[in-house]
Amino acid sequence: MNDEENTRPGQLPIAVRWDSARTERLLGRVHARIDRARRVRRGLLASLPVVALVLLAAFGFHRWSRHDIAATPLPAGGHVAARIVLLGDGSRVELRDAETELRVRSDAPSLFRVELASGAGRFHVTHAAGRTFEVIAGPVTVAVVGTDFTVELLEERVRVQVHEGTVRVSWPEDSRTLSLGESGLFPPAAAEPAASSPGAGVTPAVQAYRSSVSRHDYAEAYGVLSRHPGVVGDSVDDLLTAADVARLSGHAAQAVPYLERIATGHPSDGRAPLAQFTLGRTLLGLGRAVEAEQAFAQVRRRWPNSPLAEDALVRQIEAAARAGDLKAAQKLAEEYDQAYPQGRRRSEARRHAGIE
Amino acid sequence: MQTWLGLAPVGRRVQDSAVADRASEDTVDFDAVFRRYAPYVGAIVARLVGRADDVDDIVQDVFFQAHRGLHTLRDPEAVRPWLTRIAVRRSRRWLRRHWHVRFFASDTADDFDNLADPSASPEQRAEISRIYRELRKMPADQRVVWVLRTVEGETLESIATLVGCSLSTVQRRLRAAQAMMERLR
Repeated sequence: MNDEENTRPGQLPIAVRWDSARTERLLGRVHARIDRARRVRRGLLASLPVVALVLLAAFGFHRWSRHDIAATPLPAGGHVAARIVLLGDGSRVELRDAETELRVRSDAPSLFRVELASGAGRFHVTHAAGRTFEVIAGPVTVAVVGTDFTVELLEERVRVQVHEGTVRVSWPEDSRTLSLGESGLFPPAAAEPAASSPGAGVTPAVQAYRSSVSRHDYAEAYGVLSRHPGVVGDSVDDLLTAADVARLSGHAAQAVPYLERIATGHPSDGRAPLAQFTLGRTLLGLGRAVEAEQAFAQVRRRWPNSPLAEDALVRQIEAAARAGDLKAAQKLAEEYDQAYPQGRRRSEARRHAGIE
Repeated sequence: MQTWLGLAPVGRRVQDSAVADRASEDTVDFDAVFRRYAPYVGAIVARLVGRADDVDDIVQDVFFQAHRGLHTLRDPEAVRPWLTRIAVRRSRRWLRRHWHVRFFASDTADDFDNLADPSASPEQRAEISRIYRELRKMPADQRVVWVLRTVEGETLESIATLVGCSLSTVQRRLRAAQAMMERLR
């Protein structure tokens, strides 16, 4: 390991001062931690039969005493990452995954308020006269009386979908009421309707497709897509989503035409290089190396200043080699050396070309 | 058993589970891997979290996690990228959990002085301080992508692999981070 690797990058001379004494000191600490973990693991293994018995008894008691509830209770001020949680007011929340984080912010007689700190959750709210139920997600507040809805915290906005009843969604500038079957992204982008209504010129197939996509149920979405190809519009968003639906449901070959449509129909869109690059990766994954090489070559030719250009060149080398054209791969590897003399993927490029 | 850096061929079956557990870990010369890669992991962690004082704790976390999976690696060349991936994810977790640092830490240049290479000029030290002071205001996910791209010089595809997200997410986070850095200038 030489110093160059530790002091890496070009512009900023950043490096931690490291010597062998520090290495040995840290190694000792890591070993101590590993030994502690081993002791704990052995202790756990030894006590496993007892723990299993206790858990079995606790489970039996739980089933006997609360057989109608299969959820983890969430106390006020607490937070959990369990799959299903039971709130203090009797409402239930289905958390999407382990990354989802929910906290109870208020458990007052007139207001029950939870905060969705990350991820997404479907809320089954129990009606209580005179008590409002609120979900805070980023800048958005969703207020309800008694209903069933999903809140998903995205990177910049919050998706709300109503499965039953009515909710009021508020954000710093405005608010909006959503009813059964409606969904929306909040706060809405400028010049964009805040919510889509299933009745506003949208066919049931489109509605089913969008619903499956919003639930990340790509297998179901692909089922709708294959029966009703017309559900896909011609915008870049629509085409990228359709390509994702096809790829993530295990039908990579069906993603190809959608990705091609972006490159040909929307070449000036900022996402076109990404679509073309994804096309190359998809073709490579399908074993269509010659077409993949052309796709990567197009990324570099049409969008030479794209931040994906370096990746595209490495992938083009890989595709050329896989297509059996080692000579072209080696020529491209030389091109990489010239274009990116400090490139992080240099050894990978050379390995693909059979130089290393 | 011949090893590369102590990396034994995998696939050996041991009947007794307790023995197997210990044996599978010990067929790998973990110490050799640690000695070779700890400085590299420490350097990456320092650049990501921007606090030299916390590097040791995160490096320990990285290798503690690595210890459990190291014996499963078949390709010696995979060790470094694998450790890099763990280091990136551990650093991101640290940044998320220690969000309060950006509010309560002082803003003196001394905080970042021990990040700079001894050969760095006063101007370069000032630049490092300025950048890391601004990075404190950035969400962890955007910050990690920005540092990997701008400081580490990683490509977008590599960043997606290191962070464990899609290329489009990397692009979106990078754009947001760049816009924020521009605004903060």
